[in-house]
Amino acid sequence: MSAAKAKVAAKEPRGAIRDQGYQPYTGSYTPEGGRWKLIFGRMLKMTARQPWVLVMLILCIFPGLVGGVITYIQAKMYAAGAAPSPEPNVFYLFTKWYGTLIIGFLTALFAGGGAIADDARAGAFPFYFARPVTREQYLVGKLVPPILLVFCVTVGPAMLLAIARAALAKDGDDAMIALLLPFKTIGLGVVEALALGVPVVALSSTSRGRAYVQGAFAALFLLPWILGSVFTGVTRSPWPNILSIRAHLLNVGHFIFAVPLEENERALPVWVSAAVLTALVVGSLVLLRKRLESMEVVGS
Amino acid sequence: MSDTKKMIETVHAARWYGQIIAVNDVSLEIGPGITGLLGPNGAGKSTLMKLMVGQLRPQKGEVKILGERIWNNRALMRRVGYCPEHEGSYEDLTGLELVTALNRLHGIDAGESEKRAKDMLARLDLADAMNRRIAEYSKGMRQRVKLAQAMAHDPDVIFLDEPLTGCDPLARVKVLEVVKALGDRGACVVVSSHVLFEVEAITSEILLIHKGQVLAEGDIYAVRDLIDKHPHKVRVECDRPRELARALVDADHVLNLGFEAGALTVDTREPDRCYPAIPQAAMKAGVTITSLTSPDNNLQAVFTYLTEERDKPGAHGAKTTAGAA
Repeated sequence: MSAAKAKVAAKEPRGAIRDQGYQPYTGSYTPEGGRWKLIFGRMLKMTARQPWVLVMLILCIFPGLVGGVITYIQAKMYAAGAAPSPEPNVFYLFTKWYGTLIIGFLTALFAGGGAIADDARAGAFPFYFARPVTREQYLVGKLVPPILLVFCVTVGPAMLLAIARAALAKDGDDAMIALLLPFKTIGLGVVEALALGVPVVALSSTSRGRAYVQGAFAALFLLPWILGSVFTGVTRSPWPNILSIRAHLLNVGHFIFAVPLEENERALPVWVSAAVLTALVVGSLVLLRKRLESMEVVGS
Repeated sequence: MSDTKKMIETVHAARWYGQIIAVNDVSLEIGPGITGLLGPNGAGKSTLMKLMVGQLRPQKGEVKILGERIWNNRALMRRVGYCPEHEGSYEDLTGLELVTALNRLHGIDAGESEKRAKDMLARLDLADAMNRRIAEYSKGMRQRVKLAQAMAHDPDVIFLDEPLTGCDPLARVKVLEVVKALGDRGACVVVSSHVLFEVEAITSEILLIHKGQVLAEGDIYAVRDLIDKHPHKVRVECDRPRELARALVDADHVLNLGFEAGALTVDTREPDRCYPAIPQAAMKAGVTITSLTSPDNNLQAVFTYLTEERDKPGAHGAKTTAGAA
């Protein structure tokens, strides 16, 4: 090394980065607030690769089609005064087992079961949180895909049915009533998507095994429904349904769509259902946050 | 960067899990270049690394990277790269998809993220495999994908936790080459490993941690010289070890003599006097020396000595340059 070069080298601060073909990034950075969208997009892509989720997206069309045919016939008969209004059909599509309720539940099961469990199993947290990504961005990115997919499979067919019902209105007054259906549909759709989508992601944060999460969520949804139905029939009281997500969705649906209870049907006060569903969603969010905080890489 | 010598700084940093102290009052400074973070399993290497990466919050003290606290400092995260120890990954993604997606989380736009991912994967000899699913990768290839994601955004400070795990010999050479290049260009690279000769191949700067405390830091040879209580061992391969032993036995700097097949081992506390004395004694005794080595003068010896010394009942810590020892 010449004396001049040595002098220059001596003046250089120790640790100066001398690029060896690798160029430091000089471009702009994407906005921090939108970082959740990257996690959301990645999760949506991975969810879409699951065949059962695709099956659910296809299956949800059929109850809508059947409902559409029934609504068409019923609307014509209603116009002729030979049948009751097809008004409650959208409500039935949402809440009955032959509607989209089971499909919504299964969609949440398949789309949300692995949301966080898969990351825990793959050891992805150190990758995420060694980057400028916050807990909140991660949570939102993981929560939105299952909620969105449940919303799509339940609201999609119901919305088409609601529009068809409005189009088949027999007169102006009937049309005015029918025009409220899309709004009611969105209302119940949001409640259902949150009530199914958030708990499954919360459960997903408790385990590394997707199958365990799916089993636990199925038990959470189906057992109180079955046991509640049996005990309500025996005791003639609605209170055994207190833990049934399905019973509360049905109850809230009755309220939103203003559909009266059927004969022998027993329902809890709607405020109880609203409170239980709110507690379920809020409790799930609290659990999610706690779980993420307790994970080593994101301890607060 | 105000002080390039302090790219990483911890001040009385501590982290514990219940009753177990994983990192105990560690104060250290790490500058540019490669530093080997060494220690036996359970020593606290990974916890210390996670504290330095900002994935764990110190319960006491503070951890600074490039002069700023790392915890919850998202802007600083852009300048940090981290290759975690565990083997898991997204099996369904291709190597290119994974590295690109993780680059995007740094805020780099989609096109540039992919370009950088391709460049880095190619540098790690994964150009042909980058479009295959990670599920089809060998252990060594997965390891290189993990390394690629840690380096593809061109960070200033890089933490590599056991980066050579699972790599075959060729991949090891490639990885060490890339890591050395990073150190040479002035980046601060902290490499944790329990495979000492691999660390020794890329750096002589070490940070030896044991039971959550720093036992030694700095240049390995300087550390070795400071271990004055520990006899220095010299191994002499020769044709007649017993003749050589006879010639050396009266020297006051010789503490102990031992025999191995075709070799004599000499223990001394004064290596500066002992090294020239051995050939002289051999010449006088007419012994032919074929090799003269010091098995102590490597990382393994220092490591073994310091950790064993610390584990002895009543030991208060080895005498080293370490601040926390």
